[in-house]
Formats: sequence, C-alpha cells, structure tokens
Amino acid sequence: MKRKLALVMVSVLSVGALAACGNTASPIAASQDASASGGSSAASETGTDASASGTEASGQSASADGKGVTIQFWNSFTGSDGDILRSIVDQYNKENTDGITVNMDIMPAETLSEKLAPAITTGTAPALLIQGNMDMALYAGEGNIEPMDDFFDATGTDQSDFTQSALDGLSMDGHQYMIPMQWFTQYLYYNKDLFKAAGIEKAPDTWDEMAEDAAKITNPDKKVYGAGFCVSGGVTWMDSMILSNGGKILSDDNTKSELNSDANLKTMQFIQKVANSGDTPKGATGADLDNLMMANQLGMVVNGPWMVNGLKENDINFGVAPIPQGTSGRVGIAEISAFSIPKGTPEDQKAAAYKFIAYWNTTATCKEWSMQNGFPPYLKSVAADSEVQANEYVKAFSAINDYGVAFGTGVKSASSINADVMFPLVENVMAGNDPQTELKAASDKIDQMLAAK
Amino acid sequence: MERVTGMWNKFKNYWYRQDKVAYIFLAPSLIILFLFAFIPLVCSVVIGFMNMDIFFNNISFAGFHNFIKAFQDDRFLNAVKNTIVFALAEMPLQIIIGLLIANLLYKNTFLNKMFRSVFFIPVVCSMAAIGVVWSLLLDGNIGMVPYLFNKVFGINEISYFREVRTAMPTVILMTVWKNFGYTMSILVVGIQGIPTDYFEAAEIDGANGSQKFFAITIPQLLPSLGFCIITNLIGSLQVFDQVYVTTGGGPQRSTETLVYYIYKTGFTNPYDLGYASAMSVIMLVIILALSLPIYLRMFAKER
Repeated sequence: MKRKLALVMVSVLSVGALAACGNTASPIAASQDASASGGSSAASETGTDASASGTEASGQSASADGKGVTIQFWNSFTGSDGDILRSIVDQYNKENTDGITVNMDIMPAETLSEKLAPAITTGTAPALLIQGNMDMALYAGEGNIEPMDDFFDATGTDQSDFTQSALDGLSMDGHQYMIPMQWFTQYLYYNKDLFKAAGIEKAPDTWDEMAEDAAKITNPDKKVYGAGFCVSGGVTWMDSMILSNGGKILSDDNTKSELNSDANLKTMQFIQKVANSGDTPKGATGADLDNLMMANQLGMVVNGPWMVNGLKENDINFGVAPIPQGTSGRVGIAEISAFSIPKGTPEDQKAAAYKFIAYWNTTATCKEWSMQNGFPPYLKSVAADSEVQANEYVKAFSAINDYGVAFGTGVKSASSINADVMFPLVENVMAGNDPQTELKAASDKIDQMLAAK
Repeated sequence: MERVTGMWNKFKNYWYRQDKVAYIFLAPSLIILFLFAFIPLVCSVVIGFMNMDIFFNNISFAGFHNFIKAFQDDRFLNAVKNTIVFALAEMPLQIIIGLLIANLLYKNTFLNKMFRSVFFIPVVCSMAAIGVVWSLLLDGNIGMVPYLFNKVFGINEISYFREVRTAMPTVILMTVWKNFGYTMSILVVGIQGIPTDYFEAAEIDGANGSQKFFAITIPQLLPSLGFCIITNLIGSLQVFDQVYVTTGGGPQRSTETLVYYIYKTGFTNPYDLGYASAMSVIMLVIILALSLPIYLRMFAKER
C-alpha cells in the first residue's frame, strides 16, 4: 500500500516538477500567446519561414543595397492604427522594386520590451523596430541600437523637411539614433453628450475647470464619472500637470530630482482632492478608462491621438481639446515613436530597413498616416499640405507645436521613472496617502535611479 | 551478431536488477532537472554576485552588494511580505477545502466521479485564461459579479482587483478555486487507500462520522497531506501568473509578489539581472526555510 502511494506521489511529483518548469517559462509563453491573440500568429509563423529565406537570400546576394532581402519588423501598434500600418507595409511589400519584404510582428508594448532585450543579447533581434524616444538613452547608451547618422545620405531623404525638434529628440551625444515615425502629445478628450446633459457649453481650459466640470458630469446612478486619471498603463498626464503648474520633475540638466517642491505639493493635493470627490474612478488603468470612454461612462480623459479611431468605431459623440492649462501655462509631454535598428543587424538587412524608413518618411506616406489617424505631421511638406491642414483631427493634434515638451531626453531611466515612480506616486496620492511624504519618497527614488550608472 | 546479443544480455541483466533499472527510469527526470533547475540555479547564484544587466555589457563583480541592496529595498520587503501572506492563506485554505471535499466524494459512485471531474476542470485550464475570465467577471464597471451583488444584496459595486483591501484576498480565492481540485484528487486516492477494516472496527465501537474522520482518516492520510502541504507551499511561494494577469502587482503594490518583482527587475527596464538573481537566491532560502522543516518531519514519520 505504502509503495503504491509512494509511486503515485513520485509520478505526481515529476508532473509537478514539469509543471513548475512550465510556470517559470510562462511569462514568455504568455507573451507569445498575447502576440498570437493579436491576430498575428499566422504572420509570426510565416515570419519564421521568411527569416530563414531572408538569410538565404542575403547569402545569395550579399549586397549592401538591401535588394531581395526580407526583414523582421517589431512594433506595438495593437490598436486600430496597427491595421493602417499593416496596409502601408503590405503596400510597400507589393510596390517596392528592390524585392524587399518587410515582415511585421505586432505585439503589446510590454511584450516587445521583454522580448527585445534578450533578443538583442542573443543576436536574434529583428532588423527594424518602432520604439519610443524615452527608450533611446537606455538602448543607445549601451550600444544596443545602431547609430543612423548616415541615413539621410544613404537614402537621399531630405533632412531639411523634418521638424528639427523631432530629430533632436532622437539624437544623443551627437549621433542620430532613431528616425521619426510619428509624434504626439497629450490632449483632452471629452464626451459631448455627457457635457450637454450636465449643461456644460465647452471643454475646460484649466485643470480647476476640469475638476468643476467633472463634478457636474458625475452621476453615480448611471455609473458615469466626470473625469478619468489612470494610475498605470496610460499617458503620463501627471508629468504634464506638474510642469503646467510650474513644478519640475528633473533638474534642467537631468541629473537630479526636483520633484519635492511646494508647487508639486499643490499639484498632488489637487489630484487627491479630485480623487476624494468621487468624480473619478479609483485605481483605474489606462485600459479601464478607454473602456469607460467607449461606453459613454466617462466625461473627460487625457490621452493621445490613437484614441480617435476607437471612439469613432463606438459612435461616441466626442470632442478633442488642448490639454488643460495649469497656473503657469499649458504643457503636454510630447513623445516620438521612432524607427531604430538593433545592434548586430547585418548590413544588407540594415540597408533594407533604411529603404523602408525612407519610404515611410515620404510626403505621400506620412500624409496618408496623418489623414487616416489624425497624427500631427512632423514633415514640413505634409504640414503644408492643404488637405492635411483641413483635417479636423490633424488640426487639433497639431497643438503639439504649441505646448509639446519632451521628457528625460538622454536619461536612461526615463521610462522607468514614469512607470515605477510617477505612476505609483499618483496612485498612492489618489488612494489617500500623505502627498508630502509620497513626494519625498518619490524624489529620493528618482535620485537613486539617476545615480545608478 | 555476437556483440549485439552480448549487449542485449547486458541490458537484460540491467533491466532485471531493480536497484539498477531504477536509474534508467530516473534518467529523464534527472536530465530535465539538471538542465532546467540545477544549471539555472547555479547560474543565478553566480549572477547574484555580479553587476550585470540583460545586455551583458560592463559585467563586474559586485560582492554582496545586490544582497544588501535587497534588504534595504522597501519594494523587495513588501514583495516578501505579500508572498508570505499569500502562501500562508492560500495553502491552508486549499488543503482544508480539498480535504473536506475529498472526504465527501471518495466513494466511487457515479455522482461522486462526476463532481470530482468537475472540480478538476479548473486545474487543467491555464492560469492566464482563468485570470482573464475572473478579471472580466469581477470588473467594477462591466463585471457580472459586482452587478449581481448589487442587484441581489444591495452591496455597492466593488472593483475587486483594483482596491487594496480586496485585491489580495481576491487573488488568493481565485487561486484556491483553481487549484483545490488537485489537492482533492490526491487526497481521494489517499482516503481510498485506507484499509476499510479500520472504519468497520470503529463503527462497531460506535464511532460517529467526525470521530472516524479525526481519529482514522486524518492520521492515515498524513503522508498524502504532508506531500500536499509541501508542494502547495512551494507552489504558492512562487506565485506569479495570476498576479501578472489580473492585478499587475497593484493596487499600490499590494499584490506584488517576489517572483513578480524579480521578473520585473530582470526582464523589464532596468533589466538588472544581477539584482534579480540575488533576489531569487534569497527567495530560494526563504522557501527552504519554510518547507524543509515540514519535509524533514514528514520523512521522519515515514521511517
């Protein structure tokens, strides 16, 4: 009997051991699931095939002009903008005369950053990426993405057509590490139907007005909230609010924290007041707020241009306004999505990637992107186009030129500062913790992060 | 030809010697354990003493720096606390529920078999899928459970995974719900293995149900129970998937567990493999400290 039991146990134990192995592997497995559920499982499958044939092709031609090469292209355009991006990539694959094939793999942003780092280390990274400008310092600083100084000469792309600040935001230590793909800042989305029901005429112009309007809109019986402020997984609205109230996060030379100040204490007290008023859903993530907006349950939210398509699809009667201003002006954190090339990418693949980036940065492609998505143009030739100028959303989003401000250029921990300090800070303050204590702790944490090499 | 038969004979000699053939059967498990448990374990101890990120640039020796850093890191201590709270709540709950249900369902009747299968279904589902399902069911805005609670009991709608006071208990209950079928099935086998003479003798002496349960079932089940306690404890100290899928460690890091924090440190920005490895070594020590006494005690009884 005992032996039988022991046998059962041993077999269960070995199953358990296997299961445990499965557990430790689950993050990566889960991320693969996630990318597969994004509808790209077939694509990634063919991607593997194609990468093999790509190497083959590169072996045959071995030319540095990228002809006949297949490249892998990772990005995180999981929303409806991804469909537009896909159609542009498909069009390029069909039309380019160099025989270049761009194999796109779309995955959630978190998954991308989790997969990319080990991929670069093991030499299995794709030839082309879209990353954010806040990732540049981390990747470029350790030489994990290739400098692209020769891009304009190699492809004959007109450098003077780019808005200078877009290129500046993507260069470091005198090198151009990334090339722009789109740029945006933060805007105020508001639900016109809820505004009308609350008797409000127009979008608020200041944060105080926004809080007042939120109080009017909130209706607990209908589960309608006036305004949404996310505590993770969204745009960094609190950075914008802090700066617009005359506060600072980092010193001007980005070497230490200036978070612990009176101006910021006032901002945190304001955030706490709004949270306590019950006019905002507590502990909401960016995705939670998106869902509420799409369900006519949220009056206002600060977000980026990509929200337009979702709102349109759900027939929400919405408007876009500039982000509210604080006591010392209007500030929105501006971000650039940009092309980058991981280190160790073979020359022919790099050449092919260059060609696709050059194709993207033509007036025609960028215009299509702006017209379909409403993204503000960074190419002067697109901005000058009368059709683009007439587009309602492009007009609203072009406010980036008025109040867009970059955050943490050249700071390796820029995106960590937001994810691991700023969002937790507002989460704690909104949950009722003492703002002064939280500011001090957050400030110390930022100093620690900046001090770590 | 002769050579082949020679080898065959050698193999047969091996095969019919119990003490030797055991190695053949053990080999697959041992190889897997060596490759995927032992080697990584040694590596993480080594990496724990290094300054090293995932890009393998600028590697240098760090001494005990990463270990000292851990004990000064509020976030690490918070993760340790959360993990121990999770394990100490989840493991007993699972054992008790599993034991009670096993005791109800151990007879092989049609209904019992059906219920046992139903309770086992969540065990074979992936935690990721179950996490997503419960996230939707319990969502404060679109979830069915808060809605029904509001309609039926008039309880204000709660966002279970989004509030500090409810997040951890919710994760714990969800895990118990998913896993108790596993414990139950092991204990069912254990109870079925208890000789019926004991129960018959007890009945003749006039013992009632609970007397039989506490005086016969539990003592006879101790080896199975010990096994369940150890595996559950170790498993729940490694809690990760459910947190990753449902709460992401929030709200306010109230559900951030050790493995989750280790994962975040090593595989997302700041990609600090040295520190992540040091923390996993500390975690190994914690798991050993909690499970070794139970393990030794169980084996002492076996002998």
